[in-house]
Amino acid sequence: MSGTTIVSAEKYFVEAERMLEQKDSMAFMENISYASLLSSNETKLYSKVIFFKAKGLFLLREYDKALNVIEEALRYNNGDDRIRLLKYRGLIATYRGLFKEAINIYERVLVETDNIELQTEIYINLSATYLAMYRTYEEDKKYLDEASKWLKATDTYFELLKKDVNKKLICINYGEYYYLFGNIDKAIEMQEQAIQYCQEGELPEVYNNLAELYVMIECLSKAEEYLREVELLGEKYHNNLEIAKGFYTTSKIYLLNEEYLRAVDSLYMALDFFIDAEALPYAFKCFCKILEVSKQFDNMCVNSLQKGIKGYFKNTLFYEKM
Amino acid sequence: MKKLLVGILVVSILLLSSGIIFAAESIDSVQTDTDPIVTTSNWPGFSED
Repeated sequence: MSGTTIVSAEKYFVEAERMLEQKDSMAFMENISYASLLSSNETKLYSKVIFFKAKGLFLLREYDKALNVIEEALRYNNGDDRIRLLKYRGLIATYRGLFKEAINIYERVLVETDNIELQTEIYINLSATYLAMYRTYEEDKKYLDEASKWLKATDTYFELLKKDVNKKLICINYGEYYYLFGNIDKAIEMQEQAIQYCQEGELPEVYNNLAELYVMIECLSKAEEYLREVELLGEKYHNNLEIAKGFYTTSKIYLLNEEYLRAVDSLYMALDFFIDAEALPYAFKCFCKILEVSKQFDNMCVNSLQKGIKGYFKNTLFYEKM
Repeated sequence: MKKLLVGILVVSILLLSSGIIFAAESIDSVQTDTDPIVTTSNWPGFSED
């Protein structure tokens, strides 16, 4: 009887894994719920199922539900899985803007593990959290110093890391750090270094970072080269967020060339893709930018029209009034 | 005739008010537990694995 139960629970568990990969939230919940119900008498399997339920809910951005399940999963999981569960808790705090709470969680987790890979992942999240704090809290330099401290902590283990994704994140965060520090050349160097650790589907993110940096130093041809790649790979991997960011950066190039209407067109494209990607803070920023650029264009039209026709009214009463 | 009109009026009021109550119930029953910050990968640079 017990054997049959395990097989059924595992069947639902495997299906839940497949559904999470497809980001099908409803089907994932259905399967993982059956799996946890059917495995409740088998502690070993249940601990695996409940861990995966917590991970799935976190990745599907169901944070309230994820926090409850993490609590339950912590009772059944130890070692590396426990550290991962605590890491999800820290990430939820970060994503909610509760930076200090997140940092407390990460720092407490650090002393619980001597797994180099996991420690580095926590260093990565600490550095990324401090970078987010620097951007959020009026660019207070002390946050940038903390970010630098945790990034340096990753240096020791960099060559020993097995996961390329961690090496990629370290390079990206170093790039972000140098960008915020104002060293654009070094930022470009780090982002270019990140490329070698990316799988093809991850490249649009790094290419977008590079395009933005090249726009900053007005090396537009290089920026356009990366943006073309972003569009191609973004479509190939259905990555609407990166496609949107690409259009946003393209609008900056048009603005540098004073092509306001094209810039607004690009921004509208970016807005559509940000909404499709459910990236609402970005969509809001993009919408504000559309209003700003449109106003800039209106003012430019009025000034140019005024200049154009003012000459016709020389030596008349209307000249001074225009 | 007058009674009929009053009857129609009462029935209309009853139907209308039950409609309002029904509508209010449907609004209440809408799930509101979705997270306020619904984002995809809006936070680059974090290890999520």
